[in-house]
Amino acid sequence: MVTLYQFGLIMVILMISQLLQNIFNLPIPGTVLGMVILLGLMVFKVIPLKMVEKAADVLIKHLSVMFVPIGVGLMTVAYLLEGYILSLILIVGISLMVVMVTTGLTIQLLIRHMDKRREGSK
Amino acid sequence: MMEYVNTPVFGVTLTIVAFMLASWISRKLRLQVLNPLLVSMILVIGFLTLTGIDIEAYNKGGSIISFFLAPATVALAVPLFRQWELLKKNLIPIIVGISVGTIVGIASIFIMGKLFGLDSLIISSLLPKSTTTPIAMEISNMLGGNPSLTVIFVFATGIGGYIVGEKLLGIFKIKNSIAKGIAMGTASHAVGTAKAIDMGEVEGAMSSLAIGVTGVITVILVPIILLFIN
Repeated sequence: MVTLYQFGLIMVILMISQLLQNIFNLPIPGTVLGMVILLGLMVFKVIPLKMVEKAADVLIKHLSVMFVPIGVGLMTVAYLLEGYILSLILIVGISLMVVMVTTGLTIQLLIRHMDKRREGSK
Repeated sequence: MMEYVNTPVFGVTLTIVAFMLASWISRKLRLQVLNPLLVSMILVIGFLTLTGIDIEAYNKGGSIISFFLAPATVALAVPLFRQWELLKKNLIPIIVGISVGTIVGIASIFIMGKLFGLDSLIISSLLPKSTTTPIAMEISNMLGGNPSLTVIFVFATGIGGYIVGEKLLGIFKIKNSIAKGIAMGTASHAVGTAKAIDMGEVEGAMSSLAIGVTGVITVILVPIILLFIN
């Protein structure tokens, strides 16, 4: 039952976030807003971690399978890309790799730099 | 038979069975390209094509499975909260990293789009590809792109990152867990996050964080992008 109640709490937060997104026409999706709200509630100790973590862990563990129907649905509209497909695969592939590497390297370098400075000041 | 296929039971069962099979296959073959997500998509599509079952019929069950994406996204706050101290301590590198990645991503689409001679409708649809689907569709709309095309690009970007992420980060010797997680989430949003969660608790949390921040930074950059397009 505990997991069900926790799932219920997550659903309530999701519903409120989607309502807020709708009323105020916010530029971020209701689901992402829900993540921010739940995080805020935990940081400000309104909701203890124990009250959601069981259900949250179950949901997150199965994230991959939830994307399967979406991928299947999209493959059926792939004809929209006809004629462009090769160049698009190249562009998407290269761009995503460039983003991943520059982001990762930037953060790794900055963290190393900060750690060195912290050690230096000790 | 065809009537039975037209119930949610069919799509739900097919998805889960395909995912089980796919997990088994990818464990046996140990190839990054053949991950459970991609393999189960191929299995489902193959099955539907072979049997001639309509995608609409499959979606009756499929949509039930993907429905859980919404609460699962909210649930990503949990790993994020568990890493809260680490997050606060490294806030500046994280924000700088995501901003650099987002700007580089947008610039790379522009340059390659012009190089390949794509029209502005396609370039506009490509630009928000690294953000999560609802944000991407909104941005695509604002830029005068085609939101349906954008959904395809967003998913392709996610799957691409899911497949190459671990290997690519290894090649460039990106070993720091924070850097790895943020890189996955910034490049490949929630699909990349699904992979980052498999890589480790810190990676998963950081990737979840990057989904939201990348979306917000991209939205802020849109007016600047518009200046370039016009």
